[in-house]
Amino acid sequence: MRTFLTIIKNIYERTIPRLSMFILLTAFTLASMVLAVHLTEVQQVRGHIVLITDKSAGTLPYNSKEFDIVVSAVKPPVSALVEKKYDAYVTIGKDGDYQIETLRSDDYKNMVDTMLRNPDAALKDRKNARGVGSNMIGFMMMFLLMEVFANLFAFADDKEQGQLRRITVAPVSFSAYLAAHCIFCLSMFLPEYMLLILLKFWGFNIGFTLLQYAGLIFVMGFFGISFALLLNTLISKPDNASMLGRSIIVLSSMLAGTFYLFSKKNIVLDTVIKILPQKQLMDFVEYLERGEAWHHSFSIVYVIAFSMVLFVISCACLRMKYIKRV
Amino acid sequence: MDNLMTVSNLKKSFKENNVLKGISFEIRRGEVLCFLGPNGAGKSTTINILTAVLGSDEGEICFKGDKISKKLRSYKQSIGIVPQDIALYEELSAESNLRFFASLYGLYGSRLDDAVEEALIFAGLQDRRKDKVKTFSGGMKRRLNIACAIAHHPELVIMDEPTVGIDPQSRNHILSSIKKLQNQGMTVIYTTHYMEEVEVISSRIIIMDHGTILAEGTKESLKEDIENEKRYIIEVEENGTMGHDEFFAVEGVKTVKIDGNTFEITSLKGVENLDRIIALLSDHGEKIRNITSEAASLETVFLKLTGRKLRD
Amino acid sequence: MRRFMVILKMDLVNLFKNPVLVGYNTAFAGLLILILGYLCGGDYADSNTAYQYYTVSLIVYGMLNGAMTASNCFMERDIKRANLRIIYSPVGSFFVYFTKMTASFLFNYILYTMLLLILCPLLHVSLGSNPVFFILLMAPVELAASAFGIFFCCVFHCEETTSTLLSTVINLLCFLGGTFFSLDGMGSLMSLITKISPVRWLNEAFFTLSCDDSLRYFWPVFTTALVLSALLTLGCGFYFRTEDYL
Repeated sequence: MRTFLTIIKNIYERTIPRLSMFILLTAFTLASMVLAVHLTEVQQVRGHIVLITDKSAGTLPYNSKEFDIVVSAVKPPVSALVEKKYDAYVTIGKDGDYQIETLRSDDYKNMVDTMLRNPDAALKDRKNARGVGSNMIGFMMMFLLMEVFANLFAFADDKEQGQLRRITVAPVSFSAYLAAHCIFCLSMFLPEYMLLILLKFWGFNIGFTLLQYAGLIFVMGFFGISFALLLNTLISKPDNASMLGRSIIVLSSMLAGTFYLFSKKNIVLDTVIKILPQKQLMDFVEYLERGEAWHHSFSIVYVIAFSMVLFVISCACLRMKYIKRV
Repeated sequence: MDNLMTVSNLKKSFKENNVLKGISFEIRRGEVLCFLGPNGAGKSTTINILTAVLGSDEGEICFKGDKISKKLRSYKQSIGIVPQDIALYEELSAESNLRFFASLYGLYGSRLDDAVEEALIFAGLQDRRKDKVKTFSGGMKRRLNIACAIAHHPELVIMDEPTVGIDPQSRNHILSSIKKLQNQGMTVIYTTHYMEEVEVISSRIIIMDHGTILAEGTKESLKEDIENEKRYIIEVEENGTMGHDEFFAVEGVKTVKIDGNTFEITSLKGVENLDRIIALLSDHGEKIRNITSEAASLETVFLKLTGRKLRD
Repeated sequence: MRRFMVILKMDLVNLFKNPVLVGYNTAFAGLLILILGYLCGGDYADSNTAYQYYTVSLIVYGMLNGAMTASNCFMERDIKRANLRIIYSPVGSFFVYFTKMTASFLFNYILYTMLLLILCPLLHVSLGSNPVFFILLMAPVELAASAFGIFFCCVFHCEETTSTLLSTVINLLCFLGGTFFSLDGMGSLMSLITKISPVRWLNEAFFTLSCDDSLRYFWPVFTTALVLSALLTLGCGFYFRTEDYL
């Protein structure tokens, strides 16, 4: 216990000169959470259509909730379609038929055509939109995981500058040393949790209960810490570990659909994505939001087990390097 | 010897910490000037200001009559620095490091080749020229660290504790190299807190503590100025009946300590009384076996000036 | 000039010898393009359109991440000690940071140009009828990113802080700029916020070049990036302190 308290006190003292950096990092995560709440409230349309005609909008009998229609006399450039600023350009032919120019699939083109002919037509149901809780966790996840690399600075410095060797030679508990770093990292998520409390207090729908959020943040944090610890253990330079780690987190978070759900019916890719802990965590969160969490508890168990494996490997490597000597 | 550099009233503070409190000194051409002082004395800050990495709050530094602030580039061309930390590219070879750093001082072509070769010989690393620095021992890295500073033949070499953490053999190699540099006409500023090194290489010493210069001079003059006593240790074959009082009759004798057959007598400097002490012992039938005269050591000098040992 | 070239050569060697930096600016960038392009292929009739989108937007993302390469080159712990000698030498402090800026700019520019030359024919990605303009526009953008990294190193006096902060800022700006997916469909507020992100305008410039053969944004972006680079370089002159290397 003494070791734990000594180490954690030391880490907090070393945090003071870096306070401004931590405040900025936390601010970005908080901003992403607020964005998540806002985006869930916004009604997302199926597409942005540009109707190219010299008639004014008021004279045209279109009124669709599913599509955002802009009337323009000039056709926008192709790059706007590529960038998905717009999804289709529609011109009205001489005989009144619609000529739809789009880069999207034929299904999409037919949907636009149906809507133009009959604005009140019932269109095919879209896949379930994500709730606010899923959005919140999704948006937070990447920033939170990147933040862990910054939070584990003390361990990285100890290893690089040789203090770790001093500590392992001293008659102290190595487990307590690691525990102090882990608890410090988790404690740095308190501002995010406080924001959730505030949002709930102000009457916003945050999707899950505070207890559920505590559990989810803990699991995310544990995964982040295990991953960061492993990279810092295996890679001698903390800068390289941090750069590599952040790159992997960005890539894997995108793949896992934390912000936006990508879909492609490819067994190999789907399997690879399913292995990602972020994907399993997002799945669990979506099930939790639908009230089906405990039937799909494998996902959360997988994430925890994956994290534990990474953590155990890190501990084993550290013990081999610093405690057991050949 | 003329003055190569003069430093006047140098002051430097970091926040509320007054690190240098207005120090002034000269550096004479061709000498080895040693800065002696404990950690926190202000030696490294002085060096950082002399190397133009750190600015001073007040004061002036002139090199060959010109203010260094006005002729910074030519000043930097004329100096070489051996930093306290090993400042080398570990992934590169000894030769690559030397070539790179020497070329920063305008050397190229055959002049660069010759300079690199000389520096390798100086460091004793000709056989290891192609090896990466990370494979070198601590002593070898230190020698290369010095070689990189002198490859361009500077007029003034500033060395900030260049022998930290190395074995005695490497240290001796470095100290003899410094002597060689002095013989070649280079002026050396050397900071250390190892008295033994100062005893070996210094022409002049500046003793610093708490941001001020406590004393300045050659090692002999420092010892003489501080110590106004001399000590004689006289060993006789067999002490008869001589006591303390007989010695106090001799002019200048301050203290007498008798330990069996050994007499330890301290006497005022300037009073030549050894012959009278010997005569006194002879008159009492004492047969003198050995006489030793001890002057003050630098350690004693430092202790008297600062009130503490150098490595406290 | 000779001394400038000597230091520049050394900085480039140090950069190309760092496997993580080289990997980050080639393999990671390429992988991101391939994976995201593949995943989004289903949204388009022709899957190459997805590769078109992600190649352009992620090249911009990669160029901006050059700021981290620059800060690493400038004040990374191991390099810092050896670089101290450059400060001692009679080269002047301007060369100290300007060579790092130039080296990281060249490093990133060469690697991303090579990446484009490999990926474009492979994925049938168009850089416009005259790809020279696309590659030319990359230069001042890359220079501005390098200058950005060096400038913030001078301001924060620490590479670690700079890298951590810049990484987060760049990811956020790219996210808001629509690099990973378009935000235009997420309400008027999001639409407005994306317009504030400079990445949005960079993407616009490169997309109009590659898809519309239009030079509409070319000169504004080119000159803005150059002016920004110059201003940041001047800023380095104000903020850079040789003591930061001690």
